[in-house]
Amino acid sequence: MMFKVHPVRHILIIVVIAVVLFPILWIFTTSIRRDNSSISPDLFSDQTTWQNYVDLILERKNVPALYNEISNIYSLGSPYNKMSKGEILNTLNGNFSAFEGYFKGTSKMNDSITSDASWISVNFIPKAESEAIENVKSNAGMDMTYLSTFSAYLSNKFNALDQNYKLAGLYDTLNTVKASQTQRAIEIAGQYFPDILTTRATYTNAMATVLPSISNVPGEVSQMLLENNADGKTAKDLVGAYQETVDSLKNGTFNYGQWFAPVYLRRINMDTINLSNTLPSTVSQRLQNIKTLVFASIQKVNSAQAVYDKSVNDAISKVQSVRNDLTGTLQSSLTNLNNTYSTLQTQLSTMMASSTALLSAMSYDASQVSIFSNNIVPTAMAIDDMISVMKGVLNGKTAPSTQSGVFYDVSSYISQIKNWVGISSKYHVFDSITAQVQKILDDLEYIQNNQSLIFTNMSSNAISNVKSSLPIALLKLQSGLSMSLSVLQNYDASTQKYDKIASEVPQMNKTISEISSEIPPMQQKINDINSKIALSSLYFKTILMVPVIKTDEAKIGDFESATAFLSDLNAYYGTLVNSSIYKDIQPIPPSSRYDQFFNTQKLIDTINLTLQTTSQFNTFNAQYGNYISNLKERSNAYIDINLLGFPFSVNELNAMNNLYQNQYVSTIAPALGIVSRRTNELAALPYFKDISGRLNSINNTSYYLTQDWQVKYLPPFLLWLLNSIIVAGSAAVITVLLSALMAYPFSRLRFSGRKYGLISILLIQMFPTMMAMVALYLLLNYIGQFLPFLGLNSLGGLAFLYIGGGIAFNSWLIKGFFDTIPTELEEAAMVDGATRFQTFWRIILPLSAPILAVTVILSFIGNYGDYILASIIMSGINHYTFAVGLQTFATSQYSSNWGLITTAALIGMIPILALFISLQRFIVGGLTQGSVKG
Amino acid sequence: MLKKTIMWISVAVIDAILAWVITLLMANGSYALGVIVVLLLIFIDYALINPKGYPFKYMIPAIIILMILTVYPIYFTVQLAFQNYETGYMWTRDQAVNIMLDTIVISPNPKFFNYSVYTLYKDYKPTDDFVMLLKDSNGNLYIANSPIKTGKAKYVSNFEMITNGSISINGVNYSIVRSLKDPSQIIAISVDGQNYNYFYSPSDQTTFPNLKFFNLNYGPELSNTEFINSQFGTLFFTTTYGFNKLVTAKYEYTLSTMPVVENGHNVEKTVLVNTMTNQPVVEHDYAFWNVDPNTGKQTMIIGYYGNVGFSNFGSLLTNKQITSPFLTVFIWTFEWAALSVFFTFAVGLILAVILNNRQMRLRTIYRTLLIIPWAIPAFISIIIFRVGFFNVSFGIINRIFLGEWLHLAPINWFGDAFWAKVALFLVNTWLGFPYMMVISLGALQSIPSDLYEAASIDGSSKWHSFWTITFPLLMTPLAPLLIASFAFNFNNFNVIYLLTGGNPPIPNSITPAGQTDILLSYTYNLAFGGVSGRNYSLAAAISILIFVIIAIISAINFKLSGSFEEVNK
Repeated sequence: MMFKVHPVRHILIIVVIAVVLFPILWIFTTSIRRDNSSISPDLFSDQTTWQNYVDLILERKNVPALYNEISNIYSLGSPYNKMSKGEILNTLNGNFSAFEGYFKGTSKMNDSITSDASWISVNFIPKAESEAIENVKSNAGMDMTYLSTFSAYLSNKFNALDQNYKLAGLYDTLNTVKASQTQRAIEIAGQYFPDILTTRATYTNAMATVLPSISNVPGEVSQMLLENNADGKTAKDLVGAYQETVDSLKNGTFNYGQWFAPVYLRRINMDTINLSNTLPSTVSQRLQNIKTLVFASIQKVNSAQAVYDKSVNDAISKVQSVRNDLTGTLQSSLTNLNNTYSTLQTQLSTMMASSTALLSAMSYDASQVSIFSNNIVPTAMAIDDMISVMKGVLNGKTAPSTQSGVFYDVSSYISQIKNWVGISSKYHVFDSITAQVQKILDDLEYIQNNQSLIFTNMSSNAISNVKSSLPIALLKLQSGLSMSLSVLQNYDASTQKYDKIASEVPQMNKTISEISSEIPPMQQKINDINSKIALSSLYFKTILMVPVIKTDEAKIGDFESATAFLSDLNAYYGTLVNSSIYKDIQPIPPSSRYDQFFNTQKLIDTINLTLQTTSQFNTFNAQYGNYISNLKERSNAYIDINLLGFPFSVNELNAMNNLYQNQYVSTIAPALGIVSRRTNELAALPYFKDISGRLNSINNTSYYLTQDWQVKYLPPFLLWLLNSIIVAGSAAVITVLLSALMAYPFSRLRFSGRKYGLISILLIQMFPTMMAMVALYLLLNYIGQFLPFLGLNSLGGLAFLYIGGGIAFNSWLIKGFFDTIPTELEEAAMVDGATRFQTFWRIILPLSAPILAVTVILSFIGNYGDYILASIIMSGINHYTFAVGLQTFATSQYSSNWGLITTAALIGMIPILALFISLQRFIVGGLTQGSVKG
Repeated sequence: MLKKTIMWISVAVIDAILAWVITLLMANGSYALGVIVVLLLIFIDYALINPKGYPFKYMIPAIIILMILTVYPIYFTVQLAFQNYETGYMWTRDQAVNIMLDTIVISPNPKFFNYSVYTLYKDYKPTDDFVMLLKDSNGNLYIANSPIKTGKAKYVSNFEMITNGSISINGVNYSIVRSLKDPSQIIAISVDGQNYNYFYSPSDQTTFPNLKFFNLNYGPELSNTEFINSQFGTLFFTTTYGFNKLVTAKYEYTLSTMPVVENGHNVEKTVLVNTMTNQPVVEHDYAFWNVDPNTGKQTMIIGYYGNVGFSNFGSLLTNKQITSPFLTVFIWTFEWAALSVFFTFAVGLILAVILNNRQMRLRTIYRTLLIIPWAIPAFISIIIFRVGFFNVSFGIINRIFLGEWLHLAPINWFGDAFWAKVALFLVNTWLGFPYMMVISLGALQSIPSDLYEAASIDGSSKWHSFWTITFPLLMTPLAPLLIASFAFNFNNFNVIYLLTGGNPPIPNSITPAGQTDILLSYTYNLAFGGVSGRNYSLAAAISILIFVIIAIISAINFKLSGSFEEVNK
């Protein structure tokens, strides 16, 4: 066992590797996918192609690209405006031969598709058809069994129905009779409405009897007109009108109501009148006679037909009335019930709402009254105190026998208070305040009863005191009482209303529940009736359609009859599934049994579409090629005219574009797309195993055909890659060279300033160049005014920045390498007379060449991965580095073209990946010396 | 002797070239760069002439580049940080004045002149030599002579009315040649006997084939030409009417002397005057302003840059709309760098511990496979992650993993700060763990195994001995590397910019700041972001801040790694 020692470690690591490398796998699989991966629901696809790689690496111009190029040449756009005529013509001829290559390729591919498709059509489809028919035949039995079982079940149910229901179900069938005179439907209807049969027979009979008398009319009229040299438009029209009339009678399709008989008769009439003017009178008389004869015959047929139509319409209205009888009364009473129910509900909810409103008003009023009690209670207590003072004075004294005088008339107060108490005492809410007011009432009545006695003792100080303050107390009492009285009355009224409503509600609820209990049974009844009618209706449909299906099934022999069978079967199943009784019966057999048949049908359609498309494509290809060969002939002159300064519009180009849009874009490309998709689906089916190779070949070839003709946007990735390699590479080489020169004295020589020099280098290398980006941008902008090759938007400028950014770091690194080389070799060389520089150039450099090469590569990788500086310095699509180009492309409108993006990503990463992995050892070793990435 | 001669000659040549460069730079006003080149000249001469300067000879090319691309940019960044160099203020004062002096304004009641161009043909080809025939609305004809260059991109042409079919301008005789067949057609203009043929007129369709030549050869000159006549004043081709017709127009600002009060004295001073309002232009806040004579309202014409002291740093600390987003960015930068190091180191260390077993088979293959994310250029991986994985509507995470497989709602990766940060850490951990794994592996292998044996004899569990032996021993060699990694992530522009672009944006910020922007990407947006203009000076101020922070981190790192000792070797 390989993983005996650490199985868990291995599993862990393998899982981690799978997760970590998934993006890489995804990039690769996406780059070779043929479908549009950014909208596909699948993570991977089995339809693969290397087309993206071909497009990006070869940068081959396809037909639309070539078209754009020659358009540009003819309008002398950049760069052709600066070329000589010879150069222009050379380019043009190159493009023309590229075009011709495409035309040849296209016709070759078309031929290959055609030959595959025809092979399938000739050698496979007959076999597939017979297999498909077998498939239908062998499976149809199940449908037949199902249909018979179901028919039997249905007719049992139907026979159990009352006559009325049976009639009601005939409605659809009668409408079929009315709309199309299907014999079978007439027979079914005739069982219930014999009139239809008899009138129909009369009608048919009328046609049959009339026909012989007028069947030779067209010939006769034609003959007669020819003899009289009348062969104009009118004459032909007349003969035609007669012929149509006779034909429709012969076919039994004569129907005055639906057919255009009136139109034809009007034509016969008008034509006869028109011709009569130009013909000899005898002939015109004969024409008139014929017309009269035909009109009379048609009249006969027409009246027979009218009788028949009437019998059908009568039947329909009869059925309609039966239906109404069955459901009409019930339906209307149900509607009434429903209306009553909803009216009552509305009333109840109104009552509930008003009782709620009353309750809240009452509680508001009660709270108001309690506010007034703050006024009344102290007054009551004060009056009570006054009366007790008086009572104390008057205790034991008796009133004079005669009415001596009135102390204070409080009768009006008493009646007021009585009124108040009369209401408040009714409600327990006011119990406490009622008690207070009652006390006042008692007191005041005491005064009223003892007026004389009190008056007599008016001289008492106490009583005169009371006399002075009593009116004020009473006034205060009065204001409190009168203000609260209205509230109290309000409360009283509300309470009464509320009680009334409360007493009505239970009754109302009862009524409602009674009504609502009546609704469901009635609804149930109606449903029952409707479902019975539906059953009856379905029965008639079944006896109308099932025999047809049975006949179809018996007739299955060729593909068309099988198709007819399946279409009738599916039509019936459709009716069945949508009917209300379907949920109670056994479900229909699954339709997937006929997949082979339908797939064969799809195959036939696809092959037909393929053949049609390739032939159209061939024509289009030839036409397009024709334009190109015309242009080729005329290009010399056209270019001359352009170069002489006369602007010249080349109409061939417009025509080519129109042809391309009308033919390729609108028809051929979508058709090829369908062909490609369908052949892919069909090739996977087991019963098309034998032709899967050919189907796949059609699929692939149509895909590659579209690749040649489709408009594509291909950014110049290779140019960007080249820019990156040039900039990063030259900068890396120069940086390392200059750094080596710089590092040498620091490593080998001792001089004043060495220490500060080293510290400066150490400090400088810590700061990434990009932090001074603003300064660098403005600096390059400035330098560019004098030295354009080092300015903005130049490869030189960018390389210059990379060199400047890398020197300090690399010097420090290389000094470390140099330090490890022993000095003995140099000393020996210098003893032999070599100069310092020679020892550096001949000994140190060769000795450290491998490590310097690695440094160059690492520096290259670093420069290659830079985005920020390149994005600042470079603008314009042809100056981008790979990083800037990829980012621009990935944020453009084409960002959903994942095929191109992943391909470009893979092309851009592979070289770096290879360099990195092969230099792993050095990178890992260099880490401890402070090299940081990641 | 020969060697000496060569040396002196090369010194002379280099000095001559550098002296020329210095003069050029000084003449162009770039004194700082001039000083840099002077220093370079001194350095080179010292290295070449003085025998003690021998070691410096090797350094000459590197020093030149370092001076220009490191020392000067640092100086420049510092200078920029104290200026107001931003959109609207990107001119020197002189340039601003010149732009104002070049501004053309159409007269209030303009007169229009139609024109046609007559060209001297040579070998049946038109030449650069041409004259123009002008026609005013009354049908009067004028000849305008060939424009004469008077300054940089400034030309003058004189035009005079034709009387009796000819005219003399500046001593040159011009006469018109009419077609014999149709005398209304002027087919040529004879200039001192030489015929200039009818070439182009914007109102004559038959001459349009020559439009291209006209635009290419005459257009640049004509659009900068002032046509002068004593009666009509000046005519221009303006941007409003293009080359359709000439229109009476004039320069909007002129220089003139005016008495102004300065330091309590009346002095004559040269000022810019608006020729439309006759009001002198006022100057304050590093800009020129027009003054409305009626309301006294001032409108800015053009700005220029100058030293503003600490105001950029001041606005970072005091301007609320700048300070609050800046602080968000500042804090996030530290969180980002620290958490990035933490996640990458955690994953890397765990994998290193798993892989750290010499008996394990396929160990090197595993290690190589795990290094792959590090080996791929980061920008490619990040772009693929953004486009293919994290894209909100198309990306496979939202569409396939969450949508098709788990039936979960899509995550708004770049619209929600939390998820944007999650995406950043996921991607950065993927990119960075291999480095951490490799350095941890190296450090693990250097730990002697007898330590573990001793620990296991003492009954220490594996977990315990990892935290007490392995981890402390690892940190000694790894600490400097982790700090360096912190510094690297502190400025990890690629991940931030290419993955989230700083999104989602911080609301109510007047500077282009996002919730995942780090200081460096914020600087980049300020300087090159584009939408709200370029504020180079604020960007430079923040750069200086980054300089300071990186310097502190580096100093700590040098201390830990002993780099300073290496200098003394």
